Amino acid sequence: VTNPFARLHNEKWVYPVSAMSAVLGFMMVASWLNQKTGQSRLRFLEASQRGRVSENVIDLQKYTELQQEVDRLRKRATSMEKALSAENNGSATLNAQLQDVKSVAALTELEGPGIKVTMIDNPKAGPAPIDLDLIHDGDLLKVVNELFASDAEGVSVNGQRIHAGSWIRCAGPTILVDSVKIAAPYVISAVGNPETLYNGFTFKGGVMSEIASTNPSMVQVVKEKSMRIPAYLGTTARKYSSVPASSTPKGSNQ
Amino acid sequence: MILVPIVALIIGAMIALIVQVRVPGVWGQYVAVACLAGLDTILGGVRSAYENNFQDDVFLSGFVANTLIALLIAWLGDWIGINLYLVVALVMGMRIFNNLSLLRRFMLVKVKDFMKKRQELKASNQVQLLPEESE
Repeated sequence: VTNPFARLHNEKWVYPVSAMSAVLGFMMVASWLNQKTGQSRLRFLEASQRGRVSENVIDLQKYTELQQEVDRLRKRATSMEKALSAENNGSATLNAQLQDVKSVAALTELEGPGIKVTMIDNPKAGPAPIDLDLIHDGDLLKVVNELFASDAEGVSVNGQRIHAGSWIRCAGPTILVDSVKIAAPYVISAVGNPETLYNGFTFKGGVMSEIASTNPSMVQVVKEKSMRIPAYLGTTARKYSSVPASSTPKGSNQ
Repeated sequence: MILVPIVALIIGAMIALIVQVRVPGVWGQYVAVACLAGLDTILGGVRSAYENNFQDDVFLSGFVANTLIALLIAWLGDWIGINLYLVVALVMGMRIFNNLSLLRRFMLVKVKDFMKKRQELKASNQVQLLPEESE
């Protein structure tokens, strides 16, 4: 009498099955390692999307090199500024640079070609409009974001200049832009390349078709040859932060 | 003998852990699907061994082919935008259950046989012992 688990009559199966078992174990761990070590959020993407993401990933080596280049150029610019201000005619150069920085900080008016987006609530909506008939704060945010993504150099909403610390949120029947109440029609002006801005905003399935899903007349886009957008006129006072004395003109890598 | 493939499985896993294999991006998912097909083929091999009709050429070609086909179906599904890997998971899952239930039956029959034989042996021993006692 033999133990049924001890042996089989015909044992030629053991070696092929064992060899393939080893291969299977290898494969299992390979896919498990891949799952474990893959970036956690990427796991939730479809395989094709993941492929596209990995194509767009920035090469860190190159990025660091470019950062060092920016750092080097900034330092050179600073030393030149110092040399200029040491001379008598340096103030003009300094002023030009100051204006440049101010325009980046949205503290000056901007002039140039661009597009004008006008948004209204659905005019054909009945007395009880549904959510999609109305323009919400989120819609304004999306439009502003999309315009900046299409290389807008300056954006204003109903005459309110959007700057680095701008915020847009709902306030009942109106919308707040940097604590200023605005109401429909919402006019968003963006200075930049009109073609890029227009196409980036109106492409099929883009922000425009998303907002104007119930009625196309809710959003109107006009290209402008020349327009002026105002400067940011709100407070720029800092209560809690200050520029450290030892600050060097370095990039964001510090 | 059934332990040898299990040990081999663990050895294969250890090798992969030591080498730290990296399957690039998308292919990890495909390999996971292929694992299912491989598992099914191995269980099928063990089953056919219990049925006494194991053929190594059929088994080896089946392992390679099933794995590759599972991989191909998963890849194709991603390519045309349909979750075809679910098909592999469903079919291979069914076959794994099938193979396992057949294996379980073979094991049960063997265990029952073993028990019966042992009882018979005991009984025959007692039969042999009885006359000695009666003396």
